Amino acid sequence: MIDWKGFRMVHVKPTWLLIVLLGMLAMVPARAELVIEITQGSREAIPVAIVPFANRTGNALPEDIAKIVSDDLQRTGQFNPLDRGRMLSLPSSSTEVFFRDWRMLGQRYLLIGSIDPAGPGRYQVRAELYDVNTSERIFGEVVSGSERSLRDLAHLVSDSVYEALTGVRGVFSTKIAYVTLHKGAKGASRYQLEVADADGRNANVILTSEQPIMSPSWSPDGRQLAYVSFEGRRPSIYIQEIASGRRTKLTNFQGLNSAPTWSPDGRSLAMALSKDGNAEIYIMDIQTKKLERITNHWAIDTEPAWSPDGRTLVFTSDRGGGPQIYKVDLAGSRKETRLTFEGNYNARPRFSPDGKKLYFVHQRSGAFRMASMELQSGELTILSDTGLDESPSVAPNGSMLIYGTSKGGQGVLAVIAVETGAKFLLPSRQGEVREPAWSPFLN
Amino acid sequence: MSKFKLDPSYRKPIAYAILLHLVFAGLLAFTWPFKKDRPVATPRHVNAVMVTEDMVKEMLAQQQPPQPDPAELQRQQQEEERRRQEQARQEQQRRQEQEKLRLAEQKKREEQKRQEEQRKKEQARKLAEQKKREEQKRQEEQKKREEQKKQEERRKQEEARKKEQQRQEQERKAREERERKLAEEARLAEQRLAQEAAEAERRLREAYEQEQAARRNQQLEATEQARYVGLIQGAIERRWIEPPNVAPNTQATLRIRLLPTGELVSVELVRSSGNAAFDRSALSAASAVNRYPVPQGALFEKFRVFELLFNPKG
Repeated sequence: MIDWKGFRMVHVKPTWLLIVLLGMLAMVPARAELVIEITQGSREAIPVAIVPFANRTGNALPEDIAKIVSDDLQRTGQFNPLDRGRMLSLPSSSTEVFFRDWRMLGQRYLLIGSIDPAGPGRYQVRAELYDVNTSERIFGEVVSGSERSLRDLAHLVSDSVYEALTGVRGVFSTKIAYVTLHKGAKGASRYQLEVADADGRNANVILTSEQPIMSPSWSPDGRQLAYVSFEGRRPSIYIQEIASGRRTKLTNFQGLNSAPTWSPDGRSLAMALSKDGNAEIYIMDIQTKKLERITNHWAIDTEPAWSPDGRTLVFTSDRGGGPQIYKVDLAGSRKETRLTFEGNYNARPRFSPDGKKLYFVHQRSGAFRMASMELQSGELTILSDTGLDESPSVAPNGSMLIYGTSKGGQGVLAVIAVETGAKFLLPSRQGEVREPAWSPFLN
Repeated sequence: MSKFKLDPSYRKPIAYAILLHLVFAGLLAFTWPFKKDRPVATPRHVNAVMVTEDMVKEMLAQQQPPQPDPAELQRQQQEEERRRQEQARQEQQRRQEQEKLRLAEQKKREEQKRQEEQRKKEQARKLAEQKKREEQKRQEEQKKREEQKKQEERRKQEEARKKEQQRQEQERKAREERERKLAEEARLAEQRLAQEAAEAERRLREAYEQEQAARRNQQLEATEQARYVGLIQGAIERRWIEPPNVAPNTQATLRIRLLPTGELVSVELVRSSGNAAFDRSALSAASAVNRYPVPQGALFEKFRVFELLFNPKG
């Protein structure tokens, strides 16, 4: 016989049942596994095998896609591409891949691909990235373009690999602008404003002048450059459309017209003018050409730069005796605050894209070097070890810093990978190269 | 009705009763007046004439005409007086007669009434007697019935008593049995308790010894485990290429399954960091170890499945 009374006695409230169940559930992971915590990894470059892409076009191609990708990645200091001579096989499709071989070679990732014809004069680049250890395909992508754009296609592949493996958008498809100086035989000078790929290749001259050209600055949409040209025997600020070459003279004031920088919203330019006496910081509305004076100091105020949110300007001023960096809050009180205190010379500031750091020229022991400073802590780090560094400009992903330096008495462009400290010089050209400016993301 | 069967012992009294009734009935039949009024004997000397005032006046008027002479008148007056007296006397006498008669009549009626009452009384008495007898009889019967009932009850009580006795006896036996059983059980329980206590003590001692051994083992194991955890950490950290620009507090957890040889069975991302490149770097690092350093024997179980938490500090 069933004793129903007994059953009624064990009647339990659902709430309790739930609590008990939850408790039991909570205990499941409690009895679970050993957890081993990994708190640090190596900062070594990622070993990646970039296999020469199979050419199925039937033509000899002017560019080696795999080489371009390999160079792009290597320059960041974050990748260590495998020397082709050590590759045991050259697969171009997944069926040809023997992961064990690549593992034996100590590789982490494997990039394979091919170039196929895609209509007259056009090519298609197919790339696949694999994780050697897990044998998984990380991505596969196809990009296409003309023969002339093969380098661009390669840079696009580099961007994809970089983003997949670092989590950060690549900047290999961005551009740099810079000024070159060629000295002629009879002492005649030829200044050129050039725009090139981020790797320094594919340079295009967009302006030539016998008078100095200075301080190129990219518009936020990457379509225009502002710069200072002395072509009228005195400095003026111009805006030039890169694609069409159409240019506008924006200022022609008495005295100094210098250091234009584009506001993040693209509507204004900050600049230094001495029309009212000595150099002060102004903001000009590009449409109306209306000027707003920001600083008013007997000292020289110059080289303004916008914070990424457009609310702050930083600039160089010698009001403290030597050049130091100050900031002015545009939204609020317009109070000017000194930011740098280390050393006698800190100038030409630029914000990191996240707005947390400043890059600038710092003089120490007689040498001018690239330095960064954490805005919150004020902690200063010297980035370069060369001696005459000038004009820092930050890549739009914040990973690299381009600047002008000197090599063998010649001005050259150098790049520092901010994270790894890796440095490289852009291919040397005829003459001096100076005042580089890194473009924003262009695609 | 059939219940009222006449008891033979009642026959005689009933016969007497009937006889007595008959005698009375007879007597009454002869003495009863039967309503026939006997002629009332009126006394001869009373001849009453109804004289009214008018008659007297008439008579007086008839006698008026002769002129009375005073003597005559006196005489007549006397006469008249005498006659009136006589008349009054007669009247008186008649009245007395009548009264006598009325009295006799009354007496007679009273006698009748008295007799009637006596008769009624007698009858009532008889009825009462009869009633009394019946009552007696009824009472006797009642008594008898009650007696019977009492006897029945006594019998029943006796029976009940016997039953109760029996029940008590049974109960007593059952109780005794129960008590005996309980005592037996208690004895057994005591025995069992003693056994259990001994067992518990033995177990406790064993557990203690085991614990001591386990503690020693655990300490050994912990040291061993820590050693292997360190080895694995080293192996992973050497292979993990930490991606740059990782946001603070980026963490990913992997679940690692190994063969006792240390070979990797599977790597699985159980908690993503939200940063695909970070997750990938962790997966790649965990997969890059050809042979995990793992202990032999029982301690391997700790390493058969474990988690790797990638939690870069700074």
